This record gives sequence, structure tokens and C-alpha cells, in this order.
Amino acid sequence: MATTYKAIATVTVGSGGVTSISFSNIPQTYTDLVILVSGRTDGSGNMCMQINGSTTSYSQIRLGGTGSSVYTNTSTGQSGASGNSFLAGISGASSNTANTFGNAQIYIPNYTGDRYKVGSSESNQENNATTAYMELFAGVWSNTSPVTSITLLTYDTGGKFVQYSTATLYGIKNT
Amino acid sequence: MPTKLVVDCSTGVTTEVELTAEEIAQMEADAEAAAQAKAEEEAAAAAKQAEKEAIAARLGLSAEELSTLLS
Repeated sequence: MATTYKAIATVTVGSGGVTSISFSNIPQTYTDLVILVSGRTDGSGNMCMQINGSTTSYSQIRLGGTGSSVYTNTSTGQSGASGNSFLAGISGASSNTANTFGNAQIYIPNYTGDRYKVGSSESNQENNATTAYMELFAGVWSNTSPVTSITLLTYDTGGKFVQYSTATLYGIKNT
Repeated sequence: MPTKLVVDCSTGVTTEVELTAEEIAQMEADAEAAAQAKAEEEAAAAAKQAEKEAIAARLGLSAEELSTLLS
């Protein structure tokens, strides 16, 4: 990893799981942010992201593959169990091979600026079967506020990230 | 009680917090709204598909021919 990456914070989910993972008080001293997730949920594996706790003004495009087919869609955010948000990728699902975790990288450039905030992600599941989803997302949060907090949520009603799921927030400087 | 993990990046301290009754109620309301939106989306898609098939039938096209025409 480039030396301009700095791990700001990392978290590992404990026993019992959690409904969301939040990074708060994000320092405003970097150029971009990256979140790496090794995650598994007790449901579909779909993972959402909210910025600054906002549940409005998201829109996104998605390109995905199942292992046997592909799909695309656009939407004004994702109205999941967590309210409107970005879909931030796919993590491991309860139907996946036991003890496997999905992987996602979420990139948020210019997070301190005064323009609308954009993000993109690439993610995949690990599953010893034909069906293993991979997805690419790009989205915009139509709000000019600096990004000070990011929350990762599961898409499913009452869903949880299971134990040993991890998320690490990196700050990136351009020099 | 469901919980959430909050990492304070200024201190590095991670806290596991129980969701409040308001947060749980909001989550349930959001889920209900999402389910309703999904049902409406699926109904609209089904109606559109039925309309396409009706037009195809009037034109004497099979479903396969219509699919080829639209692909």
C-alpha cells in the first residue's frame, strides 16, 4: 500500500454481531478516504453506506455479476432497512460457504470539499458455488457538507454484521 | 437488544452502543417503506411486461421474437 495511505481506524465486530459500523469525527486532514471491509452479514450480504447520518439525496448506478449472469441498475439511493443510502457493495451472505467473508473497497475522493460528494466501490463474495456475487458501484450524495462520519449498514431488516467482520478507514494524502 | 459499533476517529475509541427505541422504530419504518417501494416497483415492472406482451400479441409476434427485437 502506498505510503500516502494512513490507517485512521479499524474495527472488528464482536460476538453477537452489530447492526451498523460507524466512523465518527473523521479527521479533515486528508485528500481522499478509503474503507476496506471484510464482512459477512446474517442476511443477503448487501451493504449500505450513509454519510453524516443522512438518509436523503443519494443516487447510484450498479453493475453486478452472479457467476452466471450480469445486471445493471440505477436508483435514487437504496431504500433498505437502514433508510435511504448508497449501496456500498456486497459482503458475505448467510447462504455463502461457512466462515467466508466478502471483500469491499469503497473510495471517497475530496471528502472535505464544498462540492457534492461522490463514491465508488468494488466488492465480491467468497462462495464455493457457481453463484458468488461481485458488484461495482458509483454514487453521489447531493450535499456539499464535508464528510465527518460514515456508517456502514446491512440492507436487510434487522440484519447484522457477524462476528469477525472488520472495517478499516484509511486517509490518503496526495503527496 | 440490537447494537451498533461506533469508532471515534479522533480518539480511536470504539464503543458498542445499544440502539434506542427511536432508532429501532425508525429502522422498522424504513424497512416497511422499502418493502412497499419494492412491491410497487415489481408491480410496475410486471404491468409494463404485460403491456409489451399485449402489443406483441396484437402484432402477431412471439415472446422470443419480441425479446430479439428489443435486445
